[in-house]
Amino acid sequence: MIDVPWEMLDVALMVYLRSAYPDGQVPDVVRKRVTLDRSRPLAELLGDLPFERYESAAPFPCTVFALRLGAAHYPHIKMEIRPFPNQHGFVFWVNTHDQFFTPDARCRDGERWREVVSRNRELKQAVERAWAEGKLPTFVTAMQESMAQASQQVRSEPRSSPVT
Amino acid sequence: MAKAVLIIEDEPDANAILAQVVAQQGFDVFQTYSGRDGLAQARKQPPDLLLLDLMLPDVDGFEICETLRASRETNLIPIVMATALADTEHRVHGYRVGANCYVAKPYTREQILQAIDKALAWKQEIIHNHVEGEISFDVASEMQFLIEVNDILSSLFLLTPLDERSAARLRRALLEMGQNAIEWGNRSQVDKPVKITYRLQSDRVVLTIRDQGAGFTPDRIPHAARDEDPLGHIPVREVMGLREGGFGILITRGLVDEMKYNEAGNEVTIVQKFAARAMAAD
Repeated sequence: MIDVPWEMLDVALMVYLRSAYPDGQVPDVVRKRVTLDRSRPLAELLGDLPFERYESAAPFPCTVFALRLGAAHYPHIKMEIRPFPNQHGFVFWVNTHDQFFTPDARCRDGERWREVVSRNRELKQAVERAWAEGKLPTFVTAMQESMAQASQQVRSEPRSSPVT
Repeated sequence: MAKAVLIIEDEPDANAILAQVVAQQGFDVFQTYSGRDGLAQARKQPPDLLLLDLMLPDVDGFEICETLRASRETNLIPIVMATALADTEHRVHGYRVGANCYVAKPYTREQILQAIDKALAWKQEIIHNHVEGEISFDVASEMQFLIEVNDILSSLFLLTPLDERSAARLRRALLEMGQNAIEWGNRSQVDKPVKITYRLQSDRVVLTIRDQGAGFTPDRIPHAARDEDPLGHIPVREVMGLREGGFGILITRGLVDEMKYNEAGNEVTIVQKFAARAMAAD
């Protein structure tokens, strides 16, 4: 089970909601989802509603924990806590939940859908950047961590070069 | 000289992190942020390796991969798909259109480097260990079959004067017949491999696909399309509860120069001639 500190989750939720609902109008259903029972250990809470769980193969077979927090323009986006082999053992991740459908050129609503997808990506990037600035673990910070470790190793033991 | 890696990824942060990972390994990095730009760059100056996102705003990654694989000039670019599409269906589609490796986000640095090593090794193997004459191998799963089809087509581009149109037709024919062998011949049982043999001759390639099923008489399958009545099988399929389709054999017959089944009906041989097709295309 991954160990997520309450303080980190609080910051992650605050940052997410601020970006996803810039006018502050968070729907009641979403407010309920983020009103978590703080008397219980978070590790235990992750196994219960409102958290959703699903199995994933990335980056290795694992259980992903998700909160469907949505956004002002699209209600299906999820904030996820994903196991990851980094310092914390997990990363925060925005799942835009829009990958199930690709409209073809003749689709009447295709352009509008592409606009939604584009806004979802912008939101994902804004939230994950803000998390990283708040020192929360994200995919990008975990990769940077991994590269820093590799640099240190290279200094002591050079890896073979792809240069031909 | 450092090898060149082209990145096609529209998310700026993911693009930047990939660039840093590969630059750290000593590769030259070229970053593009849309499918159209990436495809143009790959055609203009084929890279030593392509890191390809799939959900791009204009041309999707599957289409880019398929386009590059269909061209003699870009067919041998090692392609690593790096994508948030983690499900098996998209993974299979990735291999179907010619990916060498498929890495799902959030990936680790090590997974990306392993995929790069594997994809580069694939190209070396195709170039240095190609087989002239005859080669046979067994495939146990659809995924493995798709990878082998790509390898066959790459070898044919490298070793023969097969033109791009014929290669595309042969790919389709192989996919149809391979699917039939795995799904119908072997009933998708992974412990029963399908045997593929390909033989290069001076003017043609001869491919044989053999399954371990009881066989059938291709002209007497009620749920498959026939030359004399191409749509007559559709009501039969509806009654049998089968998905739409049943055109595989008919389509394949029209795609290649020759096609024939053995007497048992569990082995199909398809022939594609080089010169005849090239001349016809002219």
